[in-house]
Amino acid sequence: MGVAGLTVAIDVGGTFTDLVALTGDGSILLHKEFNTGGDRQAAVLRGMAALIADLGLAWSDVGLVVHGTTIATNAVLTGQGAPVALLATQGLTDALALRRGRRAHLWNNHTVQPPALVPRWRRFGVAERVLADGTLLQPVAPAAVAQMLAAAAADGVTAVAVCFMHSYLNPANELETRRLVQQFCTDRKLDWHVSVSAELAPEMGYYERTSTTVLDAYVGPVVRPYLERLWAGLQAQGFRGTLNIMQASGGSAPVAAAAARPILTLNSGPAGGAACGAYLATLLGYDEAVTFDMGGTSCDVALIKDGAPLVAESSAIAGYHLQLPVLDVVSIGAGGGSIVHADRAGLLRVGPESAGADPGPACYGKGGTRPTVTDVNLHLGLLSPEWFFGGQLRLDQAAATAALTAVAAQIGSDPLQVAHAAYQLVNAAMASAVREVSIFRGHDPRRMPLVVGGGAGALHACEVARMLEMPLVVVPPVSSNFSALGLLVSDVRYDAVRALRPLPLEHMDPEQAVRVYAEMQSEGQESLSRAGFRPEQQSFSPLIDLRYRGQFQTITVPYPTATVGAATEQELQARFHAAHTRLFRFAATGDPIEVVAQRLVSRGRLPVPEWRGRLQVTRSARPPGRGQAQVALYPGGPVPSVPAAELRGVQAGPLLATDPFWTAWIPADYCGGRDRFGNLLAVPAADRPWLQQRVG
Amino acid sequence: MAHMLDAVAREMGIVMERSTSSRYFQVRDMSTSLFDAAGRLIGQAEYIPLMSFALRPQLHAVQQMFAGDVHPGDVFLASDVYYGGNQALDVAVFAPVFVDGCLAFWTAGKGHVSDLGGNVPGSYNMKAQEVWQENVRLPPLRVARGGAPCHDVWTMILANSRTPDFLNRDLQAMMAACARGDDRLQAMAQRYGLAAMRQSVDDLVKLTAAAMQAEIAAMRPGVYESEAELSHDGIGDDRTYAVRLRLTVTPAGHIAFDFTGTSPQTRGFTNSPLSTTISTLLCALFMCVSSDIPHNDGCLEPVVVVVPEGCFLNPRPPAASQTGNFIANNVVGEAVLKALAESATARVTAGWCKALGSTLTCSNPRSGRLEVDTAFFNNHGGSGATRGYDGMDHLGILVLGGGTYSNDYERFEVQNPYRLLEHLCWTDSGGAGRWRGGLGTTARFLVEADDFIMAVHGDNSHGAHGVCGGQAAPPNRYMFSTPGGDLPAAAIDRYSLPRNTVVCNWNGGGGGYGAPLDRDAAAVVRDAREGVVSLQAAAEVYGLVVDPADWSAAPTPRRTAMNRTGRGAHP
Repeated sequence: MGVAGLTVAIDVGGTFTDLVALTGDGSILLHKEFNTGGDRQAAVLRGMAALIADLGLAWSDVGLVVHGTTIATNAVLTGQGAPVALLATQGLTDALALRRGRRAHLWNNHTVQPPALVPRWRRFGVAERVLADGTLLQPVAPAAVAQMLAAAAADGVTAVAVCFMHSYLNPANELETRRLVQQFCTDRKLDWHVSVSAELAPEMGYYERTSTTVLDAYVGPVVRPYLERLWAGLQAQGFRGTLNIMQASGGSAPVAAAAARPILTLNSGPAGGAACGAYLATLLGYDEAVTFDMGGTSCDVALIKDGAPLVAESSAIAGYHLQLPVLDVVSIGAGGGSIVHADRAGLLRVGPESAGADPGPACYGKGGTRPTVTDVNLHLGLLSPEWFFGGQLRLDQAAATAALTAVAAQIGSDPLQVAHAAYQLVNAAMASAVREVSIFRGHDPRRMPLVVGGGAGALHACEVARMLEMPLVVVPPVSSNFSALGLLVSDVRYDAVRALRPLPLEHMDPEQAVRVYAEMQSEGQESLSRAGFRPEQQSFSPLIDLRYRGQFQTITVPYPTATVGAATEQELQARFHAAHTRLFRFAATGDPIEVVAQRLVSRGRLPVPEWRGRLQVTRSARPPGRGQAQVALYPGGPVPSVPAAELRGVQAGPLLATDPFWTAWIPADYCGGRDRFGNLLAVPAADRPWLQQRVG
Repeated sequence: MAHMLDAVAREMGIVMERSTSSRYFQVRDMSTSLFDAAGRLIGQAEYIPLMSFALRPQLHAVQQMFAGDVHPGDVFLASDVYYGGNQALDVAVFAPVFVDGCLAFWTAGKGHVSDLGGNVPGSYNMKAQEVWQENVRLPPLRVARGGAPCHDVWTMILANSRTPDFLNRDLQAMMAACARGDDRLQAMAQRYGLAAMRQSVDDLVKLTAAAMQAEIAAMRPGVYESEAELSHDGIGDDRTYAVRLRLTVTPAGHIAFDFTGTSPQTRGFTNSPLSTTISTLLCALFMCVSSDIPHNDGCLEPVVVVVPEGCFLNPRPPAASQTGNFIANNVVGEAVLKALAESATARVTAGWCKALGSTLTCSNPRSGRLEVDTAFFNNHGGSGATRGYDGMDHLGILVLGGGTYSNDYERFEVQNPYRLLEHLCWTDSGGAGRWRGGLGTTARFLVEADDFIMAVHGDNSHGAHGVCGGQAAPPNRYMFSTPGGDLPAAAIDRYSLPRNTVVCNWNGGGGGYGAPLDRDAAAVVRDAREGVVSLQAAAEVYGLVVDPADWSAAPTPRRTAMNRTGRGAHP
């Protein structure tokens, strides 16, 4: 591990904070903590204190904390980011709103584009210019910038985004502007977040870079104070190790790097879930899978291909373009806390609004009066009032029924019918998200297992798998802390890029290129060493973006480090032609090749936990429940009494398989059993012989 | 299955886009489709909707010409407008897909190429009166046989372009896309079996036809007439040409578009090939039905189109037609949306920005090459408002539908010796209405080359029309600010301009929907604060006096009176 001692992964969702600890001897300990009020880091500290106490250790024994947070994502989804001023090249200030003239749904005119994150009156045009070849034509005028900043200050902004034309070739004007902003802030004693496009995404594409820079500025004043408070809180407890923050790329970064580039924390929670899904699928011997992580507020779905989550070619969050490598995760508003309601037309809907942890679902008895998916599952008998959340929270059945009755009254129905319809709606929404990551991307889910995470996921998984004819449902024992485990198995990762003025390959000086890689690598080494990674745990992948002269899109290929001089050029040519042929079935072998950018991915490898079934939960959780449950999944029909217990061998449905933090629903036409890793496997009844072998 | 087929077409599109070196493919001025053996459209990626629907008649021309002579490894090419094409510069490539030795499917890729010969670079010959003056004609040709390129045909095609390198790469990219489609379809056939795939395709087409019919049955039945006008034919200013449309919607869910009475074909290159006319009207129709309906042969079943031969929407050879693409968007689009406003009032949009196209050519002092490009950012005006929704800004002309990109500013400057000085929202360009038309833009770029030639072709006379009491948007305009003085551009002409000319464009907005005085006051104030509606227009058109000191608003007597009577509250 990077640093000696205990490693703790913490995933903060909308309702719960999930923790997973990996001890020096390779065993894994799970813990779950309720989120409270607005103070997210309090739950983190409480949860860690519980874990440490359970293990009989001290705060100083914790070497590494990996943290996934939805704080940036939520700021964007709810429109609660900072007021931002955009300083852009004069005459081109509207690029952010014009978004290159496209929309997501070609034929649907009954939609609106998401509003630009910076309103037009906070977009300032700076008289400055760098030309297409990187020549500085006009420097920035300090007095003019100061005037704009004064106007922005008067308007109450707390962040500034700077994006100028061709800054990826020559960042001088952007850097000078940042200096002016910092000077202004010092003079006025302001604490503004400043985002500069040439540092965040130094690649061609003015709109794409602007949007990325604005997103960073928008979430900066929300993310940075949170991380600072968290860091201070950990330090105050006696923590002396490293704090890393998960990034949407699927690797984590030290807290200081994340605070400096808060945009990297966007979508970090779902990235953890996808990483966990990939880890588990590989463990089970599948190179393709769909993962499905149902938390309190959302359900995140991702496709695993060749043992790794798919990476999105370009990505957007809530319709805002993000020019960074991001795992391809589809999120839908169907979590345990998603609210069940009737719309104006009298149709039943689920989400996207969530009850969160406070007040939470009606059955939490914390004052919530609107029914949620958790209330639905309770009313249907899929959840037991006594066993929820490790037995630490007794659910209030009457409150759930009352909340469902209120919605039923609005649409002239009864609570059982509403619960049944809502359960079907949630399953259908999940199935369509699975379709989106698989069939819509050209992959057939009918050969893939569905790997399920989240406390509530296993109550829905078999129903979803049946709709899509997926052959196998896998509920890992860490299901309830799915994303958190994903954080534990992800590398620490830094992405560095140096854009070049497109250069013919034959003019590339390999010595110079190697110098650039060395420079990027020493930055990466320094960061990794600071994070406690020993040299043998560090790895570096030098990559190069190439294209045929005249092409626009590039292909990234590994840079050959073993060759020198002309051999390098030949090797690069061969690699590029081969990659082009693989992707497009042709190579223009006679055509000149251009070099567009150099990249370096630095990774710090955490040891992948060896799964020996040594999984524990903190002592505060009680053992899983046993008994009979009254499951009312079929309206009008009989209410079957089904056994609920920990599984022993292969058992046929209907039954509820229980675990401290989760319950799985095995329908009548399914059977289930636990494999040697402790995973619950559920398959259609016809596949019982296959399951028998796996459960053994 | 529909999703999987569309996914195959989308993947083909990605191959084409990523492997290309075309200025046009990079903004997705291209399209990919899949057909069954009978030539039925079964899946497509609509980057540019206009082109997508025009692939079908072209495939039929290929099938007709090579009936009984299609073999594994063949690739066919076609672009001629008298063989099903929509524009000669939109070149299509078709490849048969054989499963177990049996022709099962066709894959197709199509994209705009930069030059196919003719009198002028870029092949937009303003003065053309015959197709031979526009470009080399490419009727269906076999360009590969048994997997090997037909070098003679290939060489002949490249020899007829001023930009053979680009064209060569474009054709390779399209063939690569078809090859990818072949891979994917083969894999699907392996997994599901060809018989099952055929059955699925039949079901898909049937279900789609039923869904489309239900959508049309939900419209108000009746016979509706509308007109639109083309005020310039490229040859002289003295003539106007009328589109006359008679739309019939039946309660059973059939719809007929009859263009009888439309003016005869024009003298210049403003004729719209039949493919273009039909594609354009489909684009307008699909804007007014549920966006969930898949676009395959099924959705065309309830649609009947009558376009008399010899009118300017279905010209006879050898009429010229290079800018017919744009002309049809402007006049067919307008006529169809106007007629549908009475039949599909809740779904219809007001008019979209008209097309005023441009082709830019010069030799690039940096690269030493001839550059042919288009200012796509000037073909992205506002979309029309619809009931309940404002139009969208900078989205496109109707036949683009928001599927193509406008140029990336930086790439535009890297590729051309032009410097972009301005690209901004155009204040008051959205047609006023209870729901406002989308905004158009203003743009200026500086020319830093000595032999710059710009062709302008389209409409600068009419803005997008409003519906249900909504107002029209201002029209498009080009103007050249040359060192010697300002020069306004005509709707159709070709200009040789000196170094340091600044090309100025006003790209119109979309039309408004419903009475402006009914617009939500908060929306008007927000628009005023954003500066996209002027304070003057807020007061005079929307009846709100907005105070820029605190962004409060007071209704004018006219607005108060309107709101009291409630007139027009529900257009």
